[in-house]
Amino acid sequence: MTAGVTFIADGLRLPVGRGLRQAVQGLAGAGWLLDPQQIAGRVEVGTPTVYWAEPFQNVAAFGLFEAPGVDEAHRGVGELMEAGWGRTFERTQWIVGPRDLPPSLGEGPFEQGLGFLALWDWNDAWHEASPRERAVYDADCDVAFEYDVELGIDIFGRFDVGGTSDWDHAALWDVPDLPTLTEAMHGHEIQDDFMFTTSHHLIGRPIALDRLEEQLQ
Amino acid sequence: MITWIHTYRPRPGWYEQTPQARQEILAGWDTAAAASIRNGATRSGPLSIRGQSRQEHLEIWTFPDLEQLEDHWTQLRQLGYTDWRESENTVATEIVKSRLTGPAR
Repeated sequence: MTAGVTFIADGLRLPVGRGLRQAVQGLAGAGWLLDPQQIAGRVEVGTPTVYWAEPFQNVAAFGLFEAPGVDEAHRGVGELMEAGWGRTFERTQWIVGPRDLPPSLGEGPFEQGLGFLALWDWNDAWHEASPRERAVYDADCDVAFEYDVELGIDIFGRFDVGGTSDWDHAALWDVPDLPTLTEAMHGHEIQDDFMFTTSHHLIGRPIALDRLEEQLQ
Repeated sequence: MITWIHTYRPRPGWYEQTPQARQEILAGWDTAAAASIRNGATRSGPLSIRGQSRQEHLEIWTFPDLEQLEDHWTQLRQLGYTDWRESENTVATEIVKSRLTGPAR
């Protein structure tokens, strides 16, 4: 089973070192998917992509890579760290976990799209709920997720990260713009999605790893 | 329109700078802010939050769109902003309602 490698970095210090670029290419050669468009099956060869979040929140960058398996994911994180990841992406939190839902694709890729990272936990109310209450809740949430895709949003699946982080699940989306994301969030609110979860959401602009300096310096 | 809440405090290296060096850096950031305002942004603050948070100042800005905010930040970044200040940002938009009406309970 493949594994998601979600990363959230507090600081971004350019340039991206040569050793790190080579390590990233090494992972691509070992079967990692480093571009959400590759996860979506739209491109054969991906462009390693990170999401620049610095103007929007108190994190500088985030992203999601997909490794061939959980063991490979942990090994790969070690290789990236040894290659100087932390010099560019300061204070990175790594969140690894097996994929547990496939992608649901809308209309990406988008010309001026935004990435959206969702991390969430089942709250106390979910743990206390009966199987029937949870089934009703799941069906209500499915309405919101179908609406997301109708809005054109790409959902690159979901990862079970309970074993390696404070969160139960991680998911990356691409959205066409912020108003569309805001509309989608209203859908999740009105369908009572957040009744059973504590959710943490981030937005970021997708930038190819190789173009960070050109775009930001 | 985008509303942007920006809070910050100096990083430790800031305090090693002479008053004149600090003034020069601040003047560069003020020039960038003035350019953003000429392009349609508005700025409230800086306001002090030192007594009631872990940051020093808070500013509330509006930008015509997200791209203008990104341009503003990139300008500041090129002037060393992220080297001298520890920031926390929040972006807010008007509420956009979906067509969904919610479960019948």
